[in-house]
Amino acid sequence: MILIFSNSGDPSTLDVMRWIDHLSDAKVVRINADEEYSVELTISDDDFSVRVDEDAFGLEDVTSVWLRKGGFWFKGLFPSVAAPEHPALARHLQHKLDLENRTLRDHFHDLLRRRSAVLGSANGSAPNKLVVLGRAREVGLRTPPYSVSNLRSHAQSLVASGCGYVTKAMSDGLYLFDTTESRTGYFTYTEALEPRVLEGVGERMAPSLFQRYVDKAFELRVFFLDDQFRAAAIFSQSDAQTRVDYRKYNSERPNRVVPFRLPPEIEAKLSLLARSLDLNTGSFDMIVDAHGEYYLLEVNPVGQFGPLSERCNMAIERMIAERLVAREQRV
Amino acid sequence: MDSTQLLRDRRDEYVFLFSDCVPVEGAAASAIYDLTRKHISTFPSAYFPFFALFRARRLGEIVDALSPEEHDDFVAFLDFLLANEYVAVVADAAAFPEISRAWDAPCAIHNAIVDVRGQHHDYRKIVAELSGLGCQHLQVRGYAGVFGLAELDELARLCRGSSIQTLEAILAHEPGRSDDDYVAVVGAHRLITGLTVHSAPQERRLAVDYGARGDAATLLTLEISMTVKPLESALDCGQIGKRQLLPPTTPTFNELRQFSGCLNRKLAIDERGEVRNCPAMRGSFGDHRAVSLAQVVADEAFRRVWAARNDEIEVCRDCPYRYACTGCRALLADPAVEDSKPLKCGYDPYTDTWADWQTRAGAAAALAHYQARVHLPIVRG
Ligand code: SF4
Repeated sequence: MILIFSNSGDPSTLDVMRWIDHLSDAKVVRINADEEYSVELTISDDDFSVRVDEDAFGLEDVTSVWLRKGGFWFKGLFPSVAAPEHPALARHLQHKLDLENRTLRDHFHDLLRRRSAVLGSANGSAPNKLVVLGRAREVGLRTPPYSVSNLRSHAQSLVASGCGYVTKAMSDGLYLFDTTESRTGYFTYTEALEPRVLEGVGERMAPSLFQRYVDKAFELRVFFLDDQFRAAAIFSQSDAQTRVDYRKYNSERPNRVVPFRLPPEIEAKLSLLARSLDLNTGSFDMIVDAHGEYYLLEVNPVGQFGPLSERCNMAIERMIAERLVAREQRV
Repeated sequence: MDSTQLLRDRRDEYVFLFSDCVPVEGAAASAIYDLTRKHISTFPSAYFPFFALFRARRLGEIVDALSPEEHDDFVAFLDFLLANEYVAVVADAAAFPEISRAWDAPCAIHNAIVDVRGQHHDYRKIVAELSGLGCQHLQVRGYAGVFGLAELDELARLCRGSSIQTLEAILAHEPGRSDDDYVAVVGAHRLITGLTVHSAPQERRLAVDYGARGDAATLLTLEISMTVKPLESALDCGQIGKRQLLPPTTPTFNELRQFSGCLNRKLAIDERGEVRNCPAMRGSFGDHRAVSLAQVVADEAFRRVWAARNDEIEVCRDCPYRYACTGCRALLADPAVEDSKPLKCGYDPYTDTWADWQTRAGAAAALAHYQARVHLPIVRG
């Protein structure tokens, strides 16, 4: 049995499941972080038994797991605390219950990791960007010079240096829709650091990440699964709308996205980096400058690979499905 | 960057045609398929050999070998390629491989058509077996009132929880039905992605907004189209014009290079309940009640026509639109010739002109041939 943890709206999950269904007779149980289920859960020593709605399974049934999206998937196991008379106590108890929940989750993940093939990162979120940049340099990859500061004067000196800097979120950027059916969304993108950005900012500001702008020939999006790499080059430079951040789509003239052959030494370094971050799948964002130098920007363990896979015919969905059914056939 | 500047400053570099822009050679006109921007542009085929030169020679070498008259044409062509952002000038294009030409899909059957005229089929069996084959899209065509709105509602219910993601219907107008009835059924099933009502009293469009308000409504609205035109038989299908060409994408382009755009991974149940590759094609694979659809699909004879790619069809093999055209293998310009081009296409690749197919010599006779051969009488009204 293959266990998939995801969100209800994730299209890539459906595409991978269709491949699993096409390639094997494996039973698939998909649990969405944003849906409520009736859950029965017993963990004893090194085993567990779970029932999620109609699907009941034990640890020995699970051959492979795909941690695609979401944090912990068994919502509502713990009651929420309601004590309107005692808000401080309620907050404290809620915090305690959250800790209980997290401990349970970590143990559950650990059991899965020890007994079955787990694809994806357990905490479900991106590793610390600044840590990634440090590790990247350790394995010999170039990164654009950066600094973090809460001083406006620091930012002003960067502007004055004339080198060109961008600023972006240190953690995951904001990516939020009002409601799933509305078109109103809020996004943070990578923005160029210009004098107008600092207008009205006090001398002490919120600590901000600044990164030297690298004049790129093109961007790279590198999907990896274990030691297999699929790279695509994105040509966004000719279009002012997408020059700094390619996610600002130009729908009239979408950027060119074409397959790219990574130099073996870059691939080897990315492999080392993935290993040092304990990631077995995800995608790297890189840029290549006019002199052919490669820079690592960040890694995203749960990115949307669907559009790249389709446009460059990379068959990533099939790769993932094959990885997930591999253990199944041997049973 | 314009061509004059390039010819002066970048003579030692190569013109790189982005790998998502694929040249397709035709007789009089050739095309570039822009797979990212989903657009085809055409140009005189005389320019086609430049693409091979671009890969082999530096810009300066190409230009130096041209005569003065050729030079101006070349500059014009280069400007056309630059204006559409089909090319970049690079020192080395070796790091940019072609997009893989492989094609596959996670299903044994991708789409199916069910025709209904005088009798019902076993819809429950059809949906269950199609789901087992991974079928994603289902179209149902009701020629007469037997398959109406109530039946569509029931079919949509059957499709829930199956592999079928979209259901499209063409139904005959039912006099007793109000607009609200149509809107209610379509609005109740997100699976229904299109409804056309034929033989209607007037041309009209009805909006379905799924109860959404404001911005969301404009995003979700689906239109039911009512047309006075009748749908008479499966022979009404197969029109090929510029508007019918598929906007090119990587998967469709790759599929059409290897397979028939219309028949590949398709299955049809005709109005008598027979399993076919297409309702208008000869060759029945048995009554759907008596055979298993999985067994039919496993049969080599059933899958044979899937490989009827445009590259192997007369005339079409010289057409620059051949990887964007689903073609038709049921109604041929010359019914006696197996690889004859589709009857209802008016494009002539040797002159690069579109005309009305009905004006072509022999078109009326070919159509009459199919009408006489139809496997059952066409019941009108
Ligand atoms: S000639 Fe053939 S490929 Fe070209 S448009 Fe007509 S039917 Fe399609």
